[in-house]
Amino acid sequence: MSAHSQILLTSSEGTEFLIDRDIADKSMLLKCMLEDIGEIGQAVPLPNVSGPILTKVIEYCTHHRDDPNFLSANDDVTADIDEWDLEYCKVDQGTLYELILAANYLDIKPLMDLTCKTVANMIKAKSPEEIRKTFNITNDFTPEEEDQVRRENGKDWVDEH
Amino acid sequence: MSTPRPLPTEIFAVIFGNLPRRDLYQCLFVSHLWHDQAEAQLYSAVTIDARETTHFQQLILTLKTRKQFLRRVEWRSHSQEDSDFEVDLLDIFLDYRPVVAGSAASVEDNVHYLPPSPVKTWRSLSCFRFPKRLWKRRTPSTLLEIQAAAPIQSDMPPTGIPGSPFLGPDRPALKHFTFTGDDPRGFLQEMVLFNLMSTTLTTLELHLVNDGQRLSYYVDLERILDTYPHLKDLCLDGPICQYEPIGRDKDSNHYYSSFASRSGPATLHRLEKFTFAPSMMSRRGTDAFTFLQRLGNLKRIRVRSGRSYSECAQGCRTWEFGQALKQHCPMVESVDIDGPAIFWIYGLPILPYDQTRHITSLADQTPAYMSLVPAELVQRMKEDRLRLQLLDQEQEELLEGKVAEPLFPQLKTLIFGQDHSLSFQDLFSLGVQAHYLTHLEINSLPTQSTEPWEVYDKDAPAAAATATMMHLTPTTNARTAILLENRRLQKRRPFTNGELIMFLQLCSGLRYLSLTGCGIPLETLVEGLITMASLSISGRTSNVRPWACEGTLETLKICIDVLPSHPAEFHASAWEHLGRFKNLRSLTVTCSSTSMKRMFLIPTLKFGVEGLFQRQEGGGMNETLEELQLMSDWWEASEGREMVLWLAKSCPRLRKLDLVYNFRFCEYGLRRMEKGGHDAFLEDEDVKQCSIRQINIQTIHN
Repeated sequence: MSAHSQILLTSSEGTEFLIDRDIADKSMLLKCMLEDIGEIGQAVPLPNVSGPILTKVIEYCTHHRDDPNFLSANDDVTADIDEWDLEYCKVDQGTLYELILAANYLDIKPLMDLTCKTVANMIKAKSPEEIRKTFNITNDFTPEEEDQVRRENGKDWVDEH
Repeated sequence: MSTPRPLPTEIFAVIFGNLPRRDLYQCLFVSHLWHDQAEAQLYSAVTIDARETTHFQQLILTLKTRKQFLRRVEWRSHSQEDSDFEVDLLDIFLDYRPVVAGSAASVEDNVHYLPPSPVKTWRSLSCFRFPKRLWKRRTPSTLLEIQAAAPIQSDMPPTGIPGSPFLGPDRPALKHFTFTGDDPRGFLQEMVLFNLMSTTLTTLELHLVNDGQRLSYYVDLERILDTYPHLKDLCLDGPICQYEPIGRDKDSNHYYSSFASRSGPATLHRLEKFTFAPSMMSRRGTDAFTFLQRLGNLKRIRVRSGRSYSECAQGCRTWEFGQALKQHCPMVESVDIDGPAIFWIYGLPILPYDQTRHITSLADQTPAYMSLVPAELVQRMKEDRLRLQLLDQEQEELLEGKVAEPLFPQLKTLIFGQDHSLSFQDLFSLGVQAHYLTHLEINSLPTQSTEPWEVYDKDAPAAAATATMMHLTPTTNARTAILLENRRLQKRRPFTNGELIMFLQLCSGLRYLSLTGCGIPLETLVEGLITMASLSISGRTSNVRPWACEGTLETLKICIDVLPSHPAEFHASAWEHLGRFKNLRSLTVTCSSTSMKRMFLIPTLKFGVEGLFQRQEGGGMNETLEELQLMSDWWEASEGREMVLWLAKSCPRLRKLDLVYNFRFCEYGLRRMEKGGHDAFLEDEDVKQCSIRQINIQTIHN
């Protein structure tokens, strides 16, 4: 199979996307599938990914297409996020969640790490109330339960390290 | 804002994996769903330090009911461990719950009984308080009895099994277990060590340091491998580690357990990474290295040494160990050695006796001119000639690449840390033969000790045979015989800076090269001596020795031995030399750490740093460079500012610049502290606005 061959993908709404093989190979799911069954000449259905999200995923893979360290790119938990990636993740929360799910489903580890890190950064240095506000979560703890959590989990140990 | 779909729990785990503990703690209070996810993450990796029991009391209490979350544990042992702590640890790691004395008590939920034990020593354990003193004084023989009483079963059923009274049904599914201690007392530690969930553990690390009393601690390697068949990463580290089972039959040649006897690819162990101390190579007996037969999946070897070379040399069987690795572990691709260890990368042959005769005849030839000099001198000259001829011949043979046999044919990564014993022969052969080598770090010149160079391939049968032959043959001169002996046994010797350059001229395909501990003398970079005249006439680069990795190298860490007081032309010449690496992404130019005289390249325009980027026709490293680290404690503010701006202008991809100050040598040290010191320019608007995103100042005090 040539490096320049192209693959047809179908999003959940049935929109077709024609992408280069090396872009598709960034997804371990597609890579393994194409290696296993070869190129069948028909569209690969992706029922779990919507058109707009697939566009976004392809944008990411295209930007990083020549990245030699693609697979280990976001391994370092403490490392800063690259400028382009930072811009890329400036989307609403719904889209970010959908991106995580798509990255997980398509098995694109660097995108998964990037999006999860972005969500983690939204949690960092916030109080529980602030976190609830950010993620639109209702507090389902009674004051007694909250007390119990406080008793069970030592804050000393948490702060020390 | 659209209402997001709820995230599956496994994605929560990935997100929370990016959070520090402090933030995870806050997540506990967000909601029930978040609480459960955050709790699992918070208690998945813990460090239990025996020195801080009071501080950790709450943690230990919490862990007792959250064992199921534990995946990664580091246990730091200490001689002052108290017995409550020990009970807690048993509870956490082995789900061994409090036991009430006697059999009359009624059975409660959280209490179970020790079954009556056939071994007397167990009786003392049938109460909640553990008689710690007793354990401390235990001799190896009682330890063996204990082990016999609690046989290890590799496929433990989920409930406690008869015969192993300690194992509860809720042992944590640990993946990673680390024991660090200065007090490997045996009992408690071994009980934990050999009874963890064997099916889940993939990484096991023991770091044992000397507690001042004990000189050695016996690690039963085969038993560990047997107990944990799913292990991928095993580290048995520490100067006091001895890799022999306790109480083995001293008279027998076959010391080690049945681990190795189950040979064949079907029973290959999964181990990929193995860290050990040099005493591994001193194991005794004919079956000392047979365990390697089942380690065919081994990819990475690390040797960590805290011993001296004289200790390492005792009973050292490097040759046999290397041969066993070559034979049984063909997939080894990474070797990483730090500290004194006698370790070889190439096996060198022992010259057959008939070849040595050829060398003897060389020594016996007496050229005519020698008749004019006194006999005494003739003898010395002959020896010198012989020695030089031997060196020449050896180098030729190594260049042919036939005599040295690679012990690790797949070698990709090689790291030598401090005080290593990488020989000239190994280094040279790497240059000729190691085609897969892409990553090389040599962080110091070879050791000054003599011991590693005295260890020959002498446990090889061929060597013994040749030695006998030599013994029977009367040689004319005893000293020639000694020279021959060295030759015959292929005595290894340390390499020099100059030979390092020879290696670099040979070794192609390197992508990562770090030579931080060995300064490269400027004169070895170019053919002939550098003089002011040659610098000005020759256009400076014509006689530069080419390196074989010029086109492939991506990361380079190097120090070039140039005195700061040397003329600027010297510095410029060296910068120009470094400019040849066209695809470099990361460059570190550091100072020689071994010499008392501090030598480094001055990276200012005045000292010709622009030489780095002069070859722009084919795209110089300024197109690719992303990270740069330079010594900067020499400069005046104006020069520094100029340099940083110039770098920003020249290197479009440069995003990280580290400037290193070394206070030991830094004459500007005090001035720097003052307002307007020589790094104050970093606050200037145009420097702040430049394309380099990260400019760090590092300070070193040694």
